[in-house]
Amino acid sequence: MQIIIFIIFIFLILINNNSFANSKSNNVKKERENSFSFEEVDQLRKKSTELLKTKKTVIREQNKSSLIRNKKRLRLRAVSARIGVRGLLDIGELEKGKVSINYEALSWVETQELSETESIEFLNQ
Amino acid sequence: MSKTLLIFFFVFSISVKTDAEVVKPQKKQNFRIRLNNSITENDTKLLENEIVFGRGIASKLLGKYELLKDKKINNYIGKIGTGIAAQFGRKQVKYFFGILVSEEINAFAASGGYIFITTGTLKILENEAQLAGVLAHEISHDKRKHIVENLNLNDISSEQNIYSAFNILGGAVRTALEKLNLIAFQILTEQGLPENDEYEADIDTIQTLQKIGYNPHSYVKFLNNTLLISKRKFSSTHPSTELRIQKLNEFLVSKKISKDKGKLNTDRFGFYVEI
Repeated sequence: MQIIIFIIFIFLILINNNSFANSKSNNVKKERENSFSFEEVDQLRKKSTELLKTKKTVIREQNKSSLIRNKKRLRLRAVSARIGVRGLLDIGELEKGKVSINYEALSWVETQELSETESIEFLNQ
Repeated sequence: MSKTLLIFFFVFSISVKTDAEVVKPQKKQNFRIRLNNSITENDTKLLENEIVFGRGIASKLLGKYELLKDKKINNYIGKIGTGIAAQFGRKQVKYFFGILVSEEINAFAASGGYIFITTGTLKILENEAQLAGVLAHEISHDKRKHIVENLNLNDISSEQNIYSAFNILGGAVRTALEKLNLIAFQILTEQGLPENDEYEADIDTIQTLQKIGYNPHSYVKFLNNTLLISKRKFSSTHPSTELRIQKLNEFLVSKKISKDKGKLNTDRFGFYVEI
């Protein structure tokens, strides 16, 4: 009987020891997991910057594409607005050709001095 | 490439269609009213706008035709023209006269006092009375604003005009006015004014020539000369010359205007006009 109690006692001690040892090792493991080395931190930083860069480029591309779309819309609206005005004015079938303008010749015409009284006298001669 | 083009045209046609659907008849009418919102003829702002409109047409005419920069002839035509313009009672408008180098037998009245005559017309003129007749005819068009009437905007009232539209701000109106200027230019150079407008100007011409003391029959003679040449090169912008001559002869008979009455000033014309 005494022997049996002794064995149980030893067994219990052993179990306790094992559980302690296990818990200790677990703690060490956790500590190891929570602690980072400089290299690991640096790698993480690099990864995060790369992620940020990719996000920025994606946003830029999205903005670009939206701008292009808007521009196209504006152009189409401008064209259609012109056509709308054309329709309002009953232009009919007149074609808009390239018309050249000469303001230099016009200014020559405008600078020719003419007196009304002199002209009337000239007509009466 | 062709696929993208097809897509573009498809999108374009949809956008145009939707715009056309948006413009309702009521809005059209309102736009016309805004354009035709008339002010009295003596309004200075309105006159300024008329001149701006006329300058636009004149600059286009000078872009199409070369200007003859001969001070002697230009001054002579200017004197005759200014004297005639004084008879029309538009003292607030300063008239400008230019000679266009072209074999075409034609003359133009851009709005706002800009009058042009071609060298082709000067070549077939026989005397000063005929020159006065041509200038009087164009000044009459200018005074009666025939070119504005023919822009199809005056369906509210013939007395109303578009010049007040210059006072309205807004891109659409500005674009519309530029378009109108182009149409006016095309009417002058390609289509010509309607028969009634030509006849009105003809009657004004006869009356003015008579008032100044020129022989009114000289103008009919000029029209006859153009009719003779018409088969060769007379401008298509005056298609009904024969009918105009007939109507003018009837008018001269009804007013009992003698054929021999009035000056011709053939010598003076020959001295100044050497083309």
